[in-house]
Amino acid sequence: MRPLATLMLLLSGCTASTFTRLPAPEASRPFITAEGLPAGTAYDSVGIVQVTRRGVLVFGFADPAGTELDAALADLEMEARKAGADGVVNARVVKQPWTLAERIAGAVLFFAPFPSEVTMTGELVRLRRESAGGVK
Amino acid sequence: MRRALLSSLVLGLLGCSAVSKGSALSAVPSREPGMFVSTGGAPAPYVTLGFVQVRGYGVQVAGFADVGHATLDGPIRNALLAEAARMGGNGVIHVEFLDENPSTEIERAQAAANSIQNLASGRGGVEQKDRYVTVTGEVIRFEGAAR
Amino acid sequence: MKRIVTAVLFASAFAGCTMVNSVALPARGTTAEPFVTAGDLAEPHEVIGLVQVTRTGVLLFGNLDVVGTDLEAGFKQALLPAIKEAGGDGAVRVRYQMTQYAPAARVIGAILFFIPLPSSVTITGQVVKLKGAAAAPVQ
Repeated sequence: MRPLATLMLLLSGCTASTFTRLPAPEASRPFITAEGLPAGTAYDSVGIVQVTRRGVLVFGFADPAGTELDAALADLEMEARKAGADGVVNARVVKQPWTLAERIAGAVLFFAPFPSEVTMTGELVRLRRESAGGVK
Repeated sequence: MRRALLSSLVLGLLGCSAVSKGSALSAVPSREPGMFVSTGGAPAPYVTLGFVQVRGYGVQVAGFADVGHATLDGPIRNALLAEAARMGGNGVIHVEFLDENPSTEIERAQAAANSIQNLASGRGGVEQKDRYVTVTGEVIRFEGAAR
Repeated sequence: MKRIVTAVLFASAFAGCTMVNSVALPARGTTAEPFVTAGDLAEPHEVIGLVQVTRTGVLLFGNLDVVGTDLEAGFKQALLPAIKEAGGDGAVRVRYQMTQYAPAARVIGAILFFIPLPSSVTITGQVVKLKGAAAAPVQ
């Protein structure tokens, strides 16, 4: 009983974190940044966009629906392409966190998959020709 | 009951994405003389007048008909800009927005199918879902004629 | 089809509403109050720390905000005093979130008056102190 209580205590203080690397700037793909454009950069706003991916975590860890940041990032990039934008600025992320303890609980209670969701928002921009070469 | 649980699980495993879009905000430098609106900062000196939060409410009926103000454009174009003007501002910057509970394509299809099934069987009614969009922004006034 | 149209019309009658809350703050430099911005600061400054203020309460009868859990109370009664207490001149990168109920929920709250609606406002930001000429006191 005591080892179980110790394990529960250790797992109760958990931090959930998630990270995805932004793609390196390339001329052929839209850029995505959580910041604005450098001062003096002229641009037109194409619109604002939000992408949300929703699914379930199976066994606490398996994510068959793709609800991680990289999947949302790919969706956002696709929306930028569809809109003819050069990139997305002031991008924000909202991700439902599951701690390690909760994921382990999910693995034990495998018959009850956890809901999982990731949302990204941002403003689609098209650089004006005079500054289009200057922002990477 | 079992079929509903099973379909929920299948939908969850498949996953799906929802995309909410809004129209263009202001260009930099600004092309039009109206209110400056941006998710970023201001391109010229300004004073902060205050802060606004707007929450648009709407209802999605049978998975396909969206009524009310739960769109990205509605709260920004109407309530946010009206409030900024009332406060004496000529711009709203650092605009942040969140469609709180968008429906994925599969969820819409499921709601439509359930509604049709309910109506055909005479049990239950048309499925409705409350929808919310929240927008916040910093109301500013540009100093002098700066834009 | 008729029932779907009826449902759409019924929803249209009650769904179209937008809740708006705002707070007006004195322009920077016009009073001794700390300044607040959602953006950054161009002037030289020192970061003192991070701040988060939260006011929680209930809406009595769906409408009466006795404690003050709106933007007005959050900024003026919680954030500005917290900045002063920290010894800052202002706060930058401010973000905020307050509870906003749809009118229908408020009506239900008024009918079920014995169940107060929970309400809160949370504001976060970075407290800064100006350096050099930017720190000149307000006349």
